[in-house]
Amino acid sequence: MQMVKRIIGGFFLLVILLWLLSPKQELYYLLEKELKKSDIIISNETIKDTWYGVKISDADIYIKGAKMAQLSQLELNIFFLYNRLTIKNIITNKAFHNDAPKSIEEIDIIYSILDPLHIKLDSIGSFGEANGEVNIKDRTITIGFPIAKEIKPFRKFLKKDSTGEWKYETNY
Amino acid sequence: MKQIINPKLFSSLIFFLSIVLLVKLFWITVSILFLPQAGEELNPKVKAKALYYRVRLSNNAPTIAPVVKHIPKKIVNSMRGIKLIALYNSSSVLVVTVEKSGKATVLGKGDTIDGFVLKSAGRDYALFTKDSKEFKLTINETKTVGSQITKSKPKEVIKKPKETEGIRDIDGVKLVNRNLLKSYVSNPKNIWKDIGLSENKVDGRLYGFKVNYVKKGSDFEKLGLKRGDLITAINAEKLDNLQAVMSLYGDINSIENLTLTINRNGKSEDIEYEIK
Repeated sequence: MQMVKRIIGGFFLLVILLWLLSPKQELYYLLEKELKKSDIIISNETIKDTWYGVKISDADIYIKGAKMAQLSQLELNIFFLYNRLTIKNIITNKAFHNDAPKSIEEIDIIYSILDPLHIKLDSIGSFGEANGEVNIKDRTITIGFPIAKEIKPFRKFLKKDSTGEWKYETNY
Repeated sequence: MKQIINPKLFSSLIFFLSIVLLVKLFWITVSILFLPQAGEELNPKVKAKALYYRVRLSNNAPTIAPVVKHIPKKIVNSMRGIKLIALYNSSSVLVVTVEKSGKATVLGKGDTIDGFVLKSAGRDYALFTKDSKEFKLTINETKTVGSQITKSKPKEVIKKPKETEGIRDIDGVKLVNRNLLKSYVSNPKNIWKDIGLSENKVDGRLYGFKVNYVKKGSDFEKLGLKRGDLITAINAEKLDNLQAVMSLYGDINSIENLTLTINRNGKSEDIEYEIK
């Protein structure tokens, strides 16, 4: 019994240590590398290591080499079984104001092992409220706008569903 | 002998530290072997700077900018019998063809005919000097073939361009009114009413923008763009990402010169713009 307790204790200790001692900054670089494959670059940021993730501040987001937005804070919390990316205060480039929201207060992206095939996202911004998910298996992205405010600039990309809610759907 | 450390606690501590060490070693190995050691940064911002600036050392291309010329009062003379039938005037070359008694003569800058020295030229006229007096010969002028410019009545030799004129073509350089540019920047939707552009990709990588259509009579047609053109560079900055376009967009209010490199019918050519 004592041995079993020790093994279980050791396992949990190992998991916690694996999480605490993980090279979060390098893992963030890996995320950046993956994003670059889709022509997305997070640049000019200040990176701060935390016990449970990384905190990025004052970053510029480039898509296909063009500055798409500026964000004041990005927090990546890696818990392995539950990972969360929070982006705050995004101001989109003026050039995209005709096709994208002017500002986004917050985006929450959550990946949990309890739902391994979906990535959940929630957001608040000048467009109102949005929530959606990325289906990893079907490679689809669906975003709904239950509270739609300033969606006119990008309404051309949206569809209205049977309930009257604006939806954005795409494949990747 | 009294024990200083509890052996059970000591072995647990050793066990814990061993795991910490193992985990740390594991992550160091993973980090060195599999994880990137530096983040992805965008290359230093490339500004779509002008390739060159036109420097006007003489007034041989005076129509580029509105210039009011004051000519000293001179004794009236004439160039009767001499007609200006053609001229070519650029920033570096000035050639005119004049006709006298049915005989055509080609003159370069500084050449003389009947004592009249070719000094400079505008879009449709040439200026000659003789005995410290200036004479203006206008093209297509049939009745008054020669005219003198006097100071007594300060005369605007070159017309000031109308502010409403959006784009003018002068010596192969397109002069673009800044207000026109600003109107497109503030209303980007209007751009897509007049021109259709699409990304041109080669092996999955961006290689310029293809002009799919240009509305007839639109400003973009006046800018010299045609359907089928492939815009490959802005101020020699290759359009292999949107950075050059965006930096141009950011600097649009201060930019003065612009060169578009286009591929038309398999041939590469530059279109130059001056923004005033």
